[in-house]
Amino acid sequence: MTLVNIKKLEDCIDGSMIFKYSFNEKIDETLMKKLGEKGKLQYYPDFPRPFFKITTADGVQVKGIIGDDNFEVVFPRTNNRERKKNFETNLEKMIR
Amino acid sequence: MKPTNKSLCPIYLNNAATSFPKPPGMGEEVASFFEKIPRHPGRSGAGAGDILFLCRTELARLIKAKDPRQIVLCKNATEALNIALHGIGLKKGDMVVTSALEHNSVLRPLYLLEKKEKIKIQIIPCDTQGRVIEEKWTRAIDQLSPRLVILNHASNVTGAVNNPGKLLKDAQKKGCLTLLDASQTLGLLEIDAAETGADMVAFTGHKYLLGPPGTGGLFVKEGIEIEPVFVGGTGIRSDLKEMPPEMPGRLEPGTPGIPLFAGLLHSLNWQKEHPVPLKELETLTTTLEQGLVEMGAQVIKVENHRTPIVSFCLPGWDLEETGYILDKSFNILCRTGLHCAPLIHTYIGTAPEGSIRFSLSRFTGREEVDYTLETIKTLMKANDAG
Repeated sequence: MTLVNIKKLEDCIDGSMIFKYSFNEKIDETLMKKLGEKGKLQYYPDFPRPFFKITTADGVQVKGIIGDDNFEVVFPRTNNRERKKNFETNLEKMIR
Repeated sequence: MKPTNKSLCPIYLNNAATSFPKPPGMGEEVASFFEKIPRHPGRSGAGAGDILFLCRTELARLIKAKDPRQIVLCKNATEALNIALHGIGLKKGDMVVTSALEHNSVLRPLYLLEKKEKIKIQIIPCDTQGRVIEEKWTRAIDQLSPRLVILNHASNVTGAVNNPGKLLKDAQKKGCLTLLDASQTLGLLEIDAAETGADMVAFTGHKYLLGPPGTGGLFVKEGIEIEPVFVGGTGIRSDLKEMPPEMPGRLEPGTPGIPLFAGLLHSLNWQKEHPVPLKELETLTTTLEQGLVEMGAQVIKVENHRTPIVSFCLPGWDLEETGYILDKSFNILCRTGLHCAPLIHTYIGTAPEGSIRFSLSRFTGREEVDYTLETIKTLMKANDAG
């Protein structure tokens, strides 16, 4: 799996930033669970298209759909650049 | 049990933003324009075959204007409102009264005029349903003698419809200029410009008129003078250094979006033959509202006169996240947030985040409402389980 694009979606009123991460393959439960190890995972497998949300220990939120080729990540206001860098470093390790 | 979207098509509940679908053939009408040799765009009063003239005529008929030339064609309601607000000649110290349920298309031009021209603005509160509090409105007009009042015909957040026949007419009798924002109502509700006491009516073509985005207009009552905000070519009296005095061309410089107005005309003609089934639409809206209440959603309940909008919050679910899940997991398109009307939320209890908004149209079916309710039930249960 390769990360093919990172696109900024929004600067929120509260100062947080939302980015969309796109991959060359569909997101599956394996990747979701790996991401989930970094924090709290909420998973709704019974939805017609299963939804997951992960809140990492440093407050980064990942939300997506199993079977999509992208997910969205919200980086909180404080230290958001550093958090983004850390998140991407971890993500690269997971998908390698 | 998973809700089943039998059609597998997205369920579109964002009609208060832009309506979908459009009447059959509208898209083809717009597209066909690019296959034809462009003729002179034509201006007001041009021949019967002129699309703009016919469009103006139909719009004039809808709001019972005496003369199609009282309709200024614009690209949307925002442009119409800006033409009215910047062109009506507000000066330093002039008081403008408006309401807490206004859209940013009214508020932002007013804030700009407050900053640049030093006008004064008085915002009248609304009740918990999103309707202007009439006593406060009347008192403000009595005490402040505003130069201009602006009223949203119906809230784009809750669907509550105001009574311009009283609120604007009272203001008009007291010598105020009056402007009605009918973006959420024209095509859905009867509007008689004279009866409502509106000197000006701003509207958009892409919501309940079922036309393409990029269309809208401004009704200007005879005798109301608006200075052009935009100037340029008009196709007539090109020797003049200023915009010609004739309406509506005076306020319509530049080449208009004729293909889009051809689409709007198509939709207006279609609607003439297919009137909105208001009763059915109201029943469907009430069914949706009632169903949400029964499931424990925090619904902004609206009584009496309303447009087909239901605004609510879901306990335990983040607003934006709910919109994301409805779209991505359940194929339901709606809108979440402030809906470009930032002030109303303080009064209806949804500040600071806003609400989830379902907005129906004449094309929304019972099956779609049932699926939507089943979906909300699933979300509530999932939340309980989590």
